[in-house]
Amino acid sequence: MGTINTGILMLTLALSLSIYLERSLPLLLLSSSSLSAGVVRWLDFVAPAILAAILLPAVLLIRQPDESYALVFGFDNAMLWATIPAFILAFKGSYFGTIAVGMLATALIRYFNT
Amino acid sequence: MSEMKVEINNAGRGFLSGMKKAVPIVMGYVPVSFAFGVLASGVGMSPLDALIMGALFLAGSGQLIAVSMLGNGDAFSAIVITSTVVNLRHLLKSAAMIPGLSRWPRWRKALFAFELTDETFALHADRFSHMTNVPEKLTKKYYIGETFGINVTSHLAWISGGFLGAAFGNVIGDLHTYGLDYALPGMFVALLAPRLFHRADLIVSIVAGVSSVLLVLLGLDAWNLILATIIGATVGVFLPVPKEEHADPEKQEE
Repeated sequence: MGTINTGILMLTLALSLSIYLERSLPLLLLSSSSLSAGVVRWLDFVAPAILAAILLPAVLLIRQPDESYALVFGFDNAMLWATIPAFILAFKGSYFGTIAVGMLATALIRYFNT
Repeated sequence: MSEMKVEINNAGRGFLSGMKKAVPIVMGYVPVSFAFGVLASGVGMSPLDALIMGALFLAGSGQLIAVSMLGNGDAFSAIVITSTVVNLRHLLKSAAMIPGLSRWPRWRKALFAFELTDETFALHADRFSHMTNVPEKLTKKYYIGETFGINVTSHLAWISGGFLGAAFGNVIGDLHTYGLDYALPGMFVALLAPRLFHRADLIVSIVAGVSSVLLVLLGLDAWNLILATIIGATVGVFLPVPKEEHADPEKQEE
């Protein structure tokens, strides 16, 4: 349980350094005053863009046995259908309700599918 | 008013509030990082190895990719290059935090960046969008506490899930049966929905989401997030600006 594999540790350090540079360099090197209004407006769109870029593949695509991804619209894609009640709750402004209903719907659809 | 002042100077209260806001992240992280732990032990990593990777690397898709590439016997250099490409989107999230955190000292930004994930970013971006004069507010102890409450809680959940998965993965069944894997998509739905009422954000979201799906289908699943985000945000700046939008935070006084 408590052993450390040196090779894995070296790999972990390399991965961690790489991601930390990506996470920190813009924030540490650029300042608000150096950004033009257009860039600030562009950055303001990063949040919705990245949310949608993560969400849509997560609920529309299912990984196939051959490691490729396929669009799945049937009930065997439980997360896609669970997204409908989740969005209804989300538009009503219920943050935790959205997550709870989405998880419940996912579990129920899978239960009735098997 | 005096009560509000106490709140605003109380970092501990802020931290607690941040812990509460992080609950959906915790619900989503534990099963995902548990799965990582199970896979990690399958490729010969000890629970301590999994814990260290979770603590220092703190990357969902990054860790799962690293473990599956280790399983394939890929070279370490290939794993690091792939992870760097998959995580290029962090540059954009880091940049998007610049205006909100502009009054912070550099050391605090450096600490914050260490725990910047898709999920903590999504929460912070949402918090900032509900605040007026974000840079000024974020100099208050309460909001500094809240910011780190979100990050530290999420980080600890991620670390513990990986450790538990590597240590006890063989005795617990498939966590997906319970719909726990919808916790993070559910959080993204909850954070995205309010922005869809603004026409520009709606268009940006559709363009980025559809581009991302198409890029994955084209086999570019290491590049889809950064490319789709760039495409979406770039389309956004060419849309007409609504009149009430974007008061310059620098111009507001205390």
